[in-house]
Formats: sequence, structure tokens, C-alpha cells
Amino acid sequence: MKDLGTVIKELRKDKKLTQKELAEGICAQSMLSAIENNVYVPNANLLIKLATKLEVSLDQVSLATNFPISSKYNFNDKVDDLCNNHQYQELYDFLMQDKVLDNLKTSLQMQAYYYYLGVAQIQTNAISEAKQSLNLSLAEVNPKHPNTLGRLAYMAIGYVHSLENQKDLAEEYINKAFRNWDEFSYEENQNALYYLAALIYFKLNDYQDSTAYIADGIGFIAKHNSHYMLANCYFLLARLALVAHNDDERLEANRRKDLFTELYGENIFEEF
Amino acid sequence: MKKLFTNSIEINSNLKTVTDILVNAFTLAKWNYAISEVTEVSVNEFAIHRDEPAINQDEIMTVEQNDNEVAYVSKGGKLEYQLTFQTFQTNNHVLVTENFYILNDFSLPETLILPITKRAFNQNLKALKKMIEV
Repeated sequence: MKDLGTVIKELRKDKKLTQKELAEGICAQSMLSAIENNVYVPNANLLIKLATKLEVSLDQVSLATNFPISSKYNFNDKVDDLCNNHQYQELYDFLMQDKVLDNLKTSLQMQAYYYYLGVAQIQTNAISEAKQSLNLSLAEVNPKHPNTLGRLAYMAIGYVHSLENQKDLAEEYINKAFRNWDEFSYEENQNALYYLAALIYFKLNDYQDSTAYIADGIGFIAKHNSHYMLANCYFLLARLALVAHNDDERLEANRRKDLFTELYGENIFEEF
Repeated sequence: MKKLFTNSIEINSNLKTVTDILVNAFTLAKWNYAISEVTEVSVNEFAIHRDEPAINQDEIMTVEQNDNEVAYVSKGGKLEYQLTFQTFQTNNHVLVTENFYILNDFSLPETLILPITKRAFNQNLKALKKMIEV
């Protein structure tokens, strides 16, 4: 399994950055070298700074392999290109063209088409339209045995519900995405399901459940000897660690305030 | 055995009340809200189950008591740990200090898991205080 240092090193090379360029303004080059060689494990703050410079986004996920929407290669390549570059308005505009719609032939192409339309709508803040599109992509999916794309669509609907702070519905769709999970054969895109479940719980401020999905996700990715979504998992974990730390500090501060109030029998001035 | 963190809290109560609750594993679900089921599997050994997603969905917990210390040893989950509670009576309060030790090689980096775990256990301590002081 690839560890955190290797993941950072590969991302840096993908971005064509030298160690010096990535470390600049963040940490010493020697420290980055130690991180990449797994001699030193960075704390959450440092890891978040590295992720920001490496342009790893929490909310924008590229699939390991995209799903075809057409038998025309140029259509699929266009979707691939726009998705991987996170150009969602352009993706939406492309998908809405008549020539694309007229070329949808099979149920799998329809499923993929409405999935991408839903994703483009989520990313361009057309939330209720996104739910409709994602539901259309699930129209011919067997809910008891969804294919990987169906599972991703369920997870995307769960994500929409987390944006609307609807925890019960978000959880319901996470469960739908993982239904009969053990029976399913492996595809690399499935790595994203664990990350997305963790992201949904993160959005819902449920840090323990989010951490649980990251731990499972990293285990799942390792089991299949993959590295797709590994960087995103580590960087989300760093975000979780940072908010948990800040929250814990607030808890401690409140506890000290309560103790002070109890000892001296008066309230501390809240405002100055 | 490596110590990951320490949390502490003052509870308006007496030593016996606090200790009795800590050694009674069946009260765990009342101050650790993630726990949904506690079953005794042998003397001082309990099966803990969580319905919600968790790093340890299931674990076997051994409860030990020595002088002013109660220790939980968790095995069988992804994260194996020991949690010790030291209790001291001060005037009308009991100071509870918990130390968390990792017992196995866990898959996630300790620097990242530490704040998340510390916060979760700190919240449990807060729930323990609330339960006792009501």
C-alpha cells in the first residue's frame, strides 16, 4: 500500500513541482523530503497547506475511469476532459446540446448521462435539478443490486442532502450506496464511495462517523492495491483532525470558564 | 503501549459514585452515546457494539479496578487501546483524569487520529459529568 509520503510525492510530481517549490512558504525543503520518505508524519495544519498547494479539493472528485455516455469516442473524451478539469458549467452546457441527447442509445449511456448532468448541477449549485437528474440516472438501476455508477448516484444524492443538512436522508442514501456491498466485484471507482460517505459526514459535523469511513476507505484501497482517492482520504482526515482540535480547544475553554465561575461565584464578562 | 492523550474533568460528586459508574460497563451506553449494546461475555469482560459507523464497530472490553484507578482494555476492534481513569477527591469534586494508550499498529497516522479521538473521548467525559450531576 502507498503511504502518505508516497502519495504526496506522486501528487507533487503530477503537478510538476520540485520539493523546493512545494515547500516554499510552508515548511523547510528538508522537512518535505522527510515527509515524502515517511521519516516524518505531518500534522493536520501542515498537511492542509500542502493539499491546498497541490490543489486537492475536498468537494471535487474525479473518477478513476469515466463512464461512456455515447458510442462516439469524442463525446466520451469531452466528458472525461471536462470532469477531470472540474469544468462543470462547461460540462453542463455540453450535456445539454441536442447532438449529445440525440446520441443516447443504451440504458447504461442514459444512466451515465444523467449522472454527469447531476454532478454538473451539484457543482453549479442547481441542487434540486441535480436531485432530479440523479434520480433519472437511477431509473433502471436495481436498488437491491446497484452497479457502481448507481452506487455513486445514490452517494451523490446523499451528498446533496448533506448540503441541505438533512442527516437522516443523507444516511439513508449512504446505506443505499453500500447495499449488498460484500457481493459486489471490485472496480476502482468504488474507492470514491468511502471518501464520499466520509465527506457527507464531515459536512454534517459528524467527525467520528466520517473518520470511520476514512479508516474503512484506506483499508479498502490498500486491500485492492490501488491508490485512487488515497490522497483525498488523507487530506479529509487532516481537515477532520483540525476541526476536532479546534472544537476540543473550545470545550476546554468553556470548562475553564465554568470552573472559574464556580470558584468565584460570578460570571466572566462575555463582552468587553 | 504508547500514550496518545490525556483528558480530565471535575465532577461534582463523591469518589464512590464516580468509581461505581466507571467500573459498571453496563452504564457505558449512557455516557458514550455511540455505544448501542453492552453484553457480558465473561467475568469483567464485555462485548461492545455500535450501530453507527465507527472505527471499532465491535470490540471486547475488559474492565479492571486497582485502588483509585479503573482501566478499560479494548481488543478485537481496528484500534486496540487501553483507557485508564484516575480519580481523586477534592472538596466537593472528583477529578477524573483519563489516559488513552494505543496497543496495536493502527492504519491511520497518529498525528491525525489524535485530535479526533481526543475530542470524542473528551465529549464522553462531558457526558459522564452531566449524567452524574443530574
